[in-house]
Amino acid sequence: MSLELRDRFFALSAGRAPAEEIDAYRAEVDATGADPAATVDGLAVCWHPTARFKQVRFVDAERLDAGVRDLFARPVAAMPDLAAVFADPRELSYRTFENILPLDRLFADVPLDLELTGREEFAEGAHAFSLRLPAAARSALEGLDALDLYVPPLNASSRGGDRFVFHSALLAGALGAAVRDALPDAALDGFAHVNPVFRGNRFEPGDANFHSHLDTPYYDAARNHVSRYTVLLYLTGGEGDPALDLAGSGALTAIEPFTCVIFDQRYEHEGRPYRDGRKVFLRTELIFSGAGLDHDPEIGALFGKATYWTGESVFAPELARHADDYYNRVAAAHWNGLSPSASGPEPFVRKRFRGVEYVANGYDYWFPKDGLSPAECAAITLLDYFNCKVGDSAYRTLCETEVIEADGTDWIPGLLARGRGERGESPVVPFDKSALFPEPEEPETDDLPDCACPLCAGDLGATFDTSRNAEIIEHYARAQESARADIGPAPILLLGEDVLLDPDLFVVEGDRIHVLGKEALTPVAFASCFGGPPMPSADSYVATAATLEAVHVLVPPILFAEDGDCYHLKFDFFRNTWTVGHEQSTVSVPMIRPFDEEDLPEDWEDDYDDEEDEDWDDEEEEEEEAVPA
Amino acid sequence: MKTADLEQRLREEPGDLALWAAYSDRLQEQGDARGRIIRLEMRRPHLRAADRDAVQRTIVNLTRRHRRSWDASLPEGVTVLARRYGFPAKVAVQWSDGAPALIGRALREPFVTGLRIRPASGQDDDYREEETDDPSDSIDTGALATLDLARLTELDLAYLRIGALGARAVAVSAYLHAGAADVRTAGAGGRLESLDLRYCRIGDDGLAALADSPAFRCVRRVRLQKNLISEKGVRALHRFENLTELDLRYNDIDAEGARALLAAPFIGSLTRLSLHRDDVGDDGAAALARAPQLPPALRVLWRNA
Repeated sequence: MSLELRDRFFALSAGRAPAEEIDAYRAEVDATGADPAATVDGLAVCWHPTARFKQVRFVDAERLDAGVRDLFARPVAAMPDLAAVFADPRELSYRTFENILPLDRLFADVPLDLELTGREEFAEGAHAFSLRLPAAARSALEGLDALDLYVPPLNASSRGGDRFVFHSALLAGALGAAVRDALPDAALDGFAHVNPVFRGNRFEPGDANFHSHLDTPYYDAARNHVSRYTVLLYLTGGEGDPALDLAGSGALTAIEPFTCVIFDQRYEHEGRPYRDGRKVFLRTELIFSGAGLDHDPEIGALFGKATYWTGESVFAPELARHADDYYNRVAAAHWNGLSPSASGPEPFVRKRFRGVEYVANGYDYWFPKDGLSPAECAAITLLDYFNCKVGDSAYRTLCETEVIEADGTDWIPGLLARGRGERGESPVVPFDKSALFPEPEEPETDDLPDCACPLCAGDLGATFDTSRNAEIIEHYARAQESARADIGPAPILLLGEDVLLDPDLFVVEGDRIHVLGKEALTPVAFASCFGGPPMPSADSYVATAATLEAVHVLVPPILFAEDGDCYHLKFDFFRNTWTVGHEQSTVSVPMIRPFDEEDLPEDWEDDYDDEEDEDWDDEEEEEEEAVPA
Repeated sequence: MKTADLEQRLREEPGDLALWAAYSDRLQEQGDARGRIIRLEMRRPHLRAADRDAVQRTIVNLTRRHRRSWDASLPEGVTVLARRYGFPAKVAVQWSDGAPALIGRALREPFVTGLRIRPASGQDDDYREEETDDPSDSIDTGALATLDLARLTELDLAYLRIGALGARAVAVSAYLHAGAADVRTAGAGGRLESLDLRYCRIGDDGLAALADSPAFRCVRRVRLQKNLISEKGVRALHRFENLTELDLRYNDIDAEGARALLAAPFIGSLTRLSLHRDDVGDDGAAALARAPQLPPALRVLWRNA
């Protein structure tokens, strides 16, 4: 049944099925529930769509658990290693919004001698070329469309067409070499490379325009890299009205197949479908070293809000247009500085998480002071921003959320004061991690024997202390050390559905909250052995006391201020001077379990060496014979 | 004030920094480096991190240089486990027939407030069919009653198999030394805050005897791993009203014991509770998981155990 549901998804996606059939299929999916089958990139996934798992993504099949791997479809015949998974869109965070497909293997055996010829500067800083390439390379690029890896874009409300995102260092390298040969020297000052992440776009005649927009510049704070030019590589030709419009500065109406357009990202531009056929193009950027860049923290704030509204638009689709607006303002600000924000209301969300009400916009977070510490507020901010998984649920699904559009922020303290009710315990519990690691006991017995007979093992049974056996303690201490290494630097721990925070790792200093984070017998003489059951190994006595998710974050300080009865936190995740990361790992906390008679196998005598037994009997008989009657 | 009087006052009020300053002056007049250590320790919290490290190094070096002469008055067989201002603060003695005498001498040191009694090697050579609260054959439990524990804040008998009888003897020691006519008040005002009885096999009866002794009423931290404690013993724990840390692992206290624990007067003040699911069973774990009186940081461990 589930396999049929899986296969029908791809059958319906491939063709132009009647709307009724698609509606019936959607209804069936909405009525289908299933547990996750695997986890990829922190996302729970299933091999078929369900009411929860609705977003199709493509991943390397190798990354799926071998036990369930074969259940996942391989819908791309040319790429049998690419498995289709269905994810819960509510679990997405900034790291997983985009499904970046690894497609380098498509170009691995293809000659990629690319050449850009016939440069025509159709507007200042906007160049059109013809791409010359070997037939095999042309064929590989043309084949991208047929792979049908498209998924609806996240900002589908503001743009038409289908899109997929892929990574190919080989293609980017070849294109980069061609760009160096083709662009004027002045345009290449500081050029580093072509972004290996490509967007594949497809528009059919009659699709909505890709409305007038600025491309969001690529920015890599660690390498001080920034994009300055957009690269469009048209894989099909056709005519549009126009096909590409650089906001009145220049336009292309007729485009030949394998035309490459490179234009300054300052241009606001609009793309329209071809009148007479499918428009397929790849987009990427030219990356430059960012020497001489200034940085305005306000841009980081806007970008943070943009990514936040992208995530929240899964729950409130009306927020997508705000995300789009913020991205455009960020892109414009990158080139021209920030313009005064357009008058009119801005979006906020009022959220309630386990009794704590707060207001957020992806950069600013307001919490009522009442009973909450700045550290607790900071922990909730991180959970929300990264949409961490709490138990089996994405954080944002655990919140009651209301979208508010309002002018200014003066109304927020009053709103939170009105919403203040009888609050129970904090939903983020301060926790002393050392409680998870009681010190090992002093050993009383040495290494475990091979055999559990009284002579070998001595006092086994009710009085045998596994917790004081040297060998078991050694395993326990090692397991503790391993768990401590992972849990120790985690500011937030998720224990089942409970959220714990390490107060020592949230350091409040002035107007900043710093969230600190990181960076396995002795020989036994046979003659003295009675031949008992085999002794279980020492590591089998080290059991799991608890399983935790350790949330590791490396984030800039969170600014905070007291605003009346509120804490106002400002979390600028995209701050330029910071390399940032976030990961969640599962850790088992060890304990030593007591000895149990059932540890000894019932059928141990079956494995007992008969020959040795006979030898023993012979010796006994000989001894008996030697004794005078 | 005579030096002995000053030391007596400091034992009674160990947090009085003015007294320590006076004592420091007295020691420095006598050329005793511990006088300087007192001053350095008092300054240290107010220094910058780098300076704190430098002061710490100076203290370590002074201690290394002088400790042999400082410890000369300790009898052989007494090991220093911890110091305060260079003075022995916690000492260890291995149990033997002569241990009570050694302990008596060690406790004459002015600032010893912690005592560990280690088991003699091979104390448990005798084979046991099952766990009982009988003491080790190598321990003369009567001798435990002769110990004067009145000045201790920390008593550590870890792994010393004193059994129920030994626990009773320790409890009785307070009466013997108090010399009070009314045993119900003997030992009242005892200073003991930390009691480590892990693997002592004192059983419910031994625990009840200690809990009944006024000398143990101020205890805040108790370690009771592997002591044959059941629900009855947990109820005896109720007498330790000031408990904040409790380790009850490897005891079959079962669900009833868990419920008895939740009824303890100290339950809401606990900052540390060490127990395994095996100790309380599924029902006990469920009771702990939903007990509102258990502090949230402890309860979450049971919700997910």
